[in-house]
Amino acid sequence: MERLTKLSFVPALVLVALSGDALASPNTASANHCRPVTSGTYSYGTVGIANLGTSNMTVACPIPMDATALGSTVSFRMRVTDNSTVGGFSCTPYVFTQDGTQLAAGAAKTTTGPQTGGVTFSSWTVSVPGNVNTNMYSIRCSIPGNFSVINTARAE
Amino acid sequence: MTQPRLSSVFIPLGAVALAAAAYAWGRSVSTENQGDAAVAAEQAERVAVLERAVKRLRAANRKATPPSSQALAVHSTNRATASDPTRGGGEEDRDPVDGADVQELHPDEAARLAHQTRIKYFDELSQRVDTELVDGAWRHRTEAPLERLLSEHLGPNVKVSEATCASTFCRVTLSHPESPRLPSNEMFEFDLSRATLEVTEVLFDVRAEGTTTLYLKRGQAPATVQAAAEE
Repeated sequence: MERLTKLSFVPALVLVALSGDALASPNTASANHCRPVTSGTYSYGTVGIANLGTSNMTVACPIPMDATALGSTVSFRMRVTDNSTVGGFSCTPYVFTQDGTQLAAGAAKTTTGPQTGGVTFSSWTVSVPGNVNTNMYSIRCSIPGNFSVINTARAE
Repeated sequence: MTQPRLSSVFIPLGAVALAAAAYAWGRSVSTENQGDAAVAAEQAERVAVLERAVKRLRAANRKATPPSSQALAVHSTNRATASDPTRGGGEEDRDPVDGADVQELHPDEAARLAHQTRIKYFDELSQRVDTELVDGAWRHRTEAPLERLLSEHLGPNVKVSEATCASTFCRVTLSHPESPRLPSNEMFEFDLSRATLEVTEVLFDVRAEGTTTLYLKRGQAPATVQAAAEE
């Protein structure tokens, strides 16, 4: 009876997870982890990387994980600020093995040229058959200029 | 005597009521009306959250009664070889290599099992492309542009050996004998350009050096995300 009592909470906990990510193991990384892969003028803040130039530049933003297997569907999220009325963000999430072999790429998320302001890229999933705790997660972005910023990148 | 009996009835009832309330609340949460693609993406994320929750509960339960390491290895091996070929690829419930199981294995063993899982997965996905009913209209508007974009962005050292679109996936085989893997910068440019096509995720079968087979999942590319007003 005691075991039944304990087990009766299992469906409740599982279904509560449907309503949010209360039981997930997210990892939010500061965009200070981002590194440029094309030339450009940029700077790092306390949290984030900014493109100081007038045209887009490309950065790779790894999301450090400590021996965490995220399962066969990985959800990504990124918070950016678009300060350019000319260019927009274009970002794609990736999953790699520990030897740098690419396993999967998600759909690209974008902002338009004229729009400015804070944007959250979410509802962003990638399928990873055979995911293990040594895999790596990264988001690659083309950042527009005029002090546009990537703040954080997240995988769960 | 009566007190323990009452609590053993009310506690499970309370748990069921809580579960029902959570379910009803979860169902009542509205999602953005951005078409089937946005709904599908959000549903996939919710299922992923549920999957992780189940794994954590399973791991917690297993810690309470830890099995022998040998039994665990056998269990993980059996799960890695199990599959349901009648179900579609790219769906989260096809992955038999449970992250919680793999974490308790030696890293080399975990990597080997994961590799086996991926090979089996891609073999079944390839069979699916070969056997499922073809959507001629989607094939017509996807195959040729896909080949063209790949050739444009990946350069002369990468050749498109084969491109086949069925109804849910496209399979493209790329030959790059001069390098073990595809160039990442050029792949990023291709990933941005493929937003014009009706494909979303891309899976990479990289079992052999010098050859990569891409599986591109059919779906609407995400709409441009609108900026929110800063407060």
